Amino acid sequence: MSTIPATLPTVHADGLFKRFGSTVAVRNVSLSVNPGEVVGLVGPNGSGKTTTIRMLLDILRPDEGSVSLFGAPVSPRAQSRIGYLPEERGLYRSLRVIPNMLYLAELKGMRREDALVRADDLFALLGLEPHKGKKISELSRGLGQLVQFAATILHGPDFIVLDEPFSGLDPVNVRVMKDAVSRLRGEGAAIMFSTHQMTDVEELCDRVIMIDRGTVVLDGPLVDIKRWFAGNDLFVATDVDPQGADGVLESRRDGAGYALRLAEGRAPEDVLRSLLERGAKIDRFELATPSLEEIFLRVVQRDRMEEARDAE
Amino acid sequence: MQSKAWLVARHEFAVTIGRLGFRIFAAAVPVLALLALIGIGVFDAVRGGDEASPDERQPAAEAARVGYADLSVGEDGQPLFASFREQDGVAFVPYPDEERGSAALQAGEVDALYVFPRDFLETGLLVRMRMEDSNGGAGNDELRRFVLSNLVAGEVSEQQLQRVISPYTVAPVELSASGEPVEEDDFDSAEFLFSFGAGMLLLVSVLTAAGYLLQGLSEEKENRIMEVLLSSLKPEQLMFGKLLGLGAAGLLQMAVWTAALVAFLLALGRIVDLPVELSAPSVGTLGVALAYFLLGYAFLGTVQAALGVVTTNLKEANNIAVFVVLPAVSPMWFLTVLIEHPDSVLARVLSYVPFTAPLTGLIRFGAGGTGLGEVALNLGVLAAFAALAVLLTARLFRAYLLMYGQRPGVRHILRTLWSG
Repeated sequence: MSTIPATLPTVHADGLFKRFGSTVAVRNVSLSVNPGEVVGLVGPNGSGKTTTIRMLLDILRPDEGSVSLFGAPVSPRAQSRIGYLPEERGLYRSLRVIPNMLYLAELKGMRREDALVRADDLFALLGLEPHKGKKISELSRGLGQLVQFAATILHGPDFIVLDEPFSGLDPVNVRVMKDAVSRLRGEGAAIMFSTHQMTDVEELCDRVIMIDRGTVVLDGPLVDIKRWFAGNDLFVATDVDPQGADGVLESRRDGAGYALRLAEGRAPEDVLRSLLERGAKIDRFELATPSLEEIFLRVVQRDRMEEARDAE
Repeated sequence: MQSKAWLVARHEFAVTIGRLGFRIFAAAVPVLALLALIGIGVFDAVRGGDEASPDERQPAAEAARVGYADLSVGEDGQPLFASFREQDGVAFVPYPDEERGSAALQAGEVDALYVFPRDFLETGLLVRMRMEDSNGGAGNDELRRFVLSNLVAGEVSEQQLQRVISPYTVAPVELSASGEPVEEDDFDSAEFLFSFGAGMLLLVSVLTAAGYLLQGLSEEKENRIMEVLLSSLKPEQLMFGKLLGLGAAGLLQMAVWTAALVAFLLALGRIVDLPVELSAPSVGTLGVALAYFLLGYAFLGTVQAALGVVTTNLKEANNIAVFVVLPAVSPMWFLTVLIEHPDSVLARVLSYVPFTAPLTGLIRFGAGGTGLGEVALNLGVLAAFAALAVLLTARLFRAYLLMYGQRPGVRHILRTLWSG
């Protein structure tokens, strides 16, 4: 793995546009991924994630905008430093595991001998040793997935794009792959990770980029985003139903307490004061951090509402 | 760029020759040739030299001795078979009666005994005697000549006798529109056989290799490996690599078949008498065959690759590939014209149409209908079409390699071909 200046993003896209006929798949997307950073790319189906990824990898050319990899326009040399695990797996089913991996590694500019040595390391790391002599068609979906992951990182890429990497994997192999991703991040690789599993994003990603209808609607560190969306929600463990308390718009039972939504312009102190005035015994009172999934749904719903409003 | 195309070529070549189907197909011709050779050899051995090889026949004929007992009586009351006892190297040995002839036959002095009965002139019936399990005796032609020569002895001149035995031979002459005799081309059967055979092999090899190209592309699109490949190389590199690797596999297949057929014919010539004299094809003929293969494959393979790109799966691609295969084999429909009139307008036109040029060109060249100048022109035109096909197909590769599950419209394809 080669080093690049820490100040330079590994990949930087600026104002990307892509049209297919009359459909605008991606509009004015700008983003970057830095060395040693795992970025989650999330968005509903058909939102433009895959098209964006393809443009970052130079598989598709943008109609407008530009992409730079390692501080320079995309070049064959830069392409050889990319590892790509597409959403739908692609390996030669009639070939055995090793020839598949060697071919893809050689296309990335790796020497065959070096690839063989590194492949052995990866087989050990990913628990694939018993399967390396098998044909791809003989492997289960999950094992095929692991082989594809191994092929993706075999050449030691500096920029890795993983599109739904855990689909079809059992929990043990999910853990194996997550550990490998963490190790790659530790080695300085920039990783872009596209998935619909928000829990995986929360676990692995430093930053989240959300795309909806071809546009970036959220981009920032995960903790900041959560804090941003936490403003109107509270969690209160109390013996009195907070519904009707001052400043509470909505209250629902949530385990040992209540999840509250504050009314617009009201502060948590208003609720606390009102509950105390009602003689409530309070065990916990905290700002509720929404899950990424809740944030995702909220953003998408907001987008849909704006779209409907625009249509009217 | 070159090295990645080369890697793709090496991969495609290795995968293709590793396919069981390819190996069986490539081995089919040598195996069939070997089996045919064994079959012919066994058949020849069972016949025991009745149809001896050319090398063996002459000495056997010189040594052939057959006996005859002439009991017949002619119109003049004399025996009919008193003269002309040596015919084409077969010695007819007279015996005064059947008993002594039969004794000579049993003693091995003669290979067969012919008995002409007293009423032979009326009935035409004669008796042939030979030992059990023997196939000795005079051939039909020799016996006929012996009988005719004796029947008309002294009645006609030697020349008339020859005409009685072999009445005529037709010497064909064709006149041009101006009434001038048209000179016959020097028709080299061996060259024609090679060119025609090479044409057929070329076609099968080209279409096989192009079929693998189509299959590989469809598979890569269907199983999405295309996306991984395109994150490592350009569509053009992929296309060139595939054409190169599968072309090499096709060439290997053709080389195996050609070697097997040449070995078969040479071996066959040692067992049976072939209607044409075999000789190794000239370097020029080999060069022309190779050039037609390479350019024919470059064109037809590229067109097949284009079909693989714009279709959604292998089944659909195969269905559409018929529109390439049929024109490519269509010169077979005009085979008679191409052989008998290799200089005709039809033959010339087919030589310039890129789909039909490879097979037509080789058949015409073998039939002696084209000089090297015209062959060079045909090949040049084919090369130009191949280059154009590569250019246009590269545009389709760039536009449609990642289009899964949906086929672009004809208008869209035409726009892509035009504008890139």
